[in-house]
Amino acid sequence: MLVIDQLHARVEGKDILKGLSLRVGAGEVHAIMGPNGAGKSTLAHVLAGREGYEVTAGSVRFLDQDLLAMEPEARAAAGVFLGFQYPVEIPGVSNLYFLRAALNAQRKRRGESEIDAAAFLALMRDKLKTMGMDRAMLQRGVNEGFSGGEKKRNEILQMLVLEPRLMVLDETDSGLDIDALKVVAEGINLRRGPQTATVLVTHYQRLLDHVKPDAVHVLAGGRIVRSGGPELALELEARGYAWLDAA
Amino acid sequence: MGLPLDHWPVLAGREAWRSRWIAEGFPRDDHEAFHYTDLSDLDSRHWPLAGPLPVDGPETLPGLAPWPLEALAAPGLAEDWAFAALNASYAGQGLQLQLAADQRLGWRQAGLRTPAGQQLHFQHRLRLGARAEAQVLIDHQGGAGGLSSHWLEIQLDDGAQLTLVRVQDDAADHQHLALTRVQLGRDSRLHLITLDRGQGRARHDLQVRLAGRGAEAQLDGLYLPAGRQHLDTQLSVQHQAEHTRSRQFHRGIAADRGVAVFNGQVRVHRGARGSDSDQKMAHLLLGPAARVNAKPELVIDHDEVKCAHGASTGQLDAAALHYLRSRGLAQSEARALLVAAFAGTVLERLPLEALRRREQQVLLQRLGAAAPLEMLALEEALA
Repeated sequence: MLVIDQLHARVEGKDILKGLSLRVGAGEVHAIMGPNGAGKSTLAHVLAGREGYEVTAGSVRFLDQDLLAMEPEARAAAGVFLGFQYPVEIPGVSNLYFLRAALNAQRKRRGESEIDAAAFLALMRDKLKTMGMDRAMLQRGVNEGFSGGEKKRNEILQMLVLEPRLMVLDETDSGLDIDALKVVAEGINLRRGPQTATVLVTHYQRLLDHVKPDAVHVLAGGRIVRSGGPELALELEARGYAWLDAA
Repeated sequence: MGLPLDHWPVLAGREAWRSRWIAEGFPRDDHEAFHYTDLSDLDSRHWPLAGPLPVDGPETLPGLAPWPLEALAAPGLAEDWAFAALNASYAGQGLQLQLAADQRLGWRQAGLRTPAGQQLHFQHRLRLGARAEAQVLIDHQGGAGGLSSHWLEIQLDDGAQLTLVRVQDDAADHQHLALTRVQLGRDSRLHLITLDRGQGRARHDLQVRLAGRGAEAQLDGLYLPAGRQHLDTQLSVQHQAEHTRSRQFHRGIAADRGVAVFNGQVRVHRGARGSDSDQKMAHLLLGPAARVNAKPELVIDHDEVKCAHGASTGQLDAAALHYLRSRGLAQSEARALLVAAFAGTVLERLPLEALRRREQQVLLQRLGAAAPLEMLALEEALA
């Protein structure tokens, strides 16, 4: 579903990704771990198409399309979702309006009909319940005044409503207490299936206790330096990253 | 150097004011108060004087009573206003409101439509007796290429309460010259909302005097210069008595070659003990050629007062724009949504549902975004 080949990217004139290759097949969950500054967030932003992240070499194909040639909104409509490490606050735009505008914009771009107000509200009620969130949040500005944990829940709520094919979750587990972590993990697991793929960018093993990955990769120095099964995450948890340099 | 005489009509009994106007002419940018608004290009222009407007103006919003224009019995001269002589020379009509003590008046709406290519001048007077209450909306729709001047004089007696919404929606190349003066008595309240979204050039001198102990003014404003529009607001708030309070909340959005000038002075006079003032202004620049000249100014002549102010000028938040796009909104939609949200912080202060909707609709139309009513309907369905 996602094929990244020899990707090089720079941010503010500094080379961050230096030949990163990764293949994620349909139905798979991959975890990407690694020390700070390794390029994990850069990878996430490059996949979502953020301005200022310059790809200097390599390719990214998603469902046989050239992802790097697409505008961010076209990537979203094609089924790419980035769960932000730091979700943005947008005062004056309600969560309700935002989510409906986003959903309808994606549907329109895919040539589907817009969802009507009643159907949308029913959908929202259902997803809010799954995420254990209060309906009152819908009237509030997007992420406005939300705690770190509420913002992360809101990312997963958006993911459930937008139903993407590829989910790239950038440290969605950071800043969550154990109950919130379980809810977020449940949301991620709900989207697991033969038609979707997930990339979890994380520092910690604990999310992987709740969302079992098919593969674990270590990203260091802008490249994948080691890949393995779930046991690799446990090893990293026990030994840190330093041993990888020596190896 | 004066104005070419023959361009300016003569009204009986007003020759002296006319002579003064001819001698003064339009201010140019060497005049300190007109530093950013040079009007000297108007010296050579010519506008025929329009006949009186029909007293019953344009149709009103649902639930608002029409507020008819009246002929002026005795025109006056607004001293210290750059256009006082011009206005006094030709003003023939105005809105009048005189409320006795304890009298209450529901929403009223007036529409002032200067014909295209012509000039028209107004003097409006509002006086609210003790504890009287009124709510008024004045729509200004100056015709293309026209000229209008508006002197609005307001006096609020002790405990009176006035809500005033002033909308300026002039057509292209209209020259809009306005003076609004408000004097507030003891414990009186003013809520003034100014919305400037005209296509021409506007200069508004807004002077608020908190003259009675405990008087309070809330001043909210939104201005949206686009195209080649030029909007200049000179606001002065004078705290002259103890425990007076003022709140300002202004938002400006400049696009294309639009220019916003905002000069907001707050002065706390000697003796105005326990006064409390807060001034917030923020501006959004939507293009490289758009300009904002904003200047907050605080003059404090008395200790033991509370004064705060904040001013910012910036562009759309790139992170917010990317966030919206990453969820599927097209760049143009995302931009419109962020601009609407910025302007919405003023529009949500409009105290009347029908008016709020009208203004939201106009705004989103300008931005080319999705229908705002849909957004409201959605929220109502949920409530």
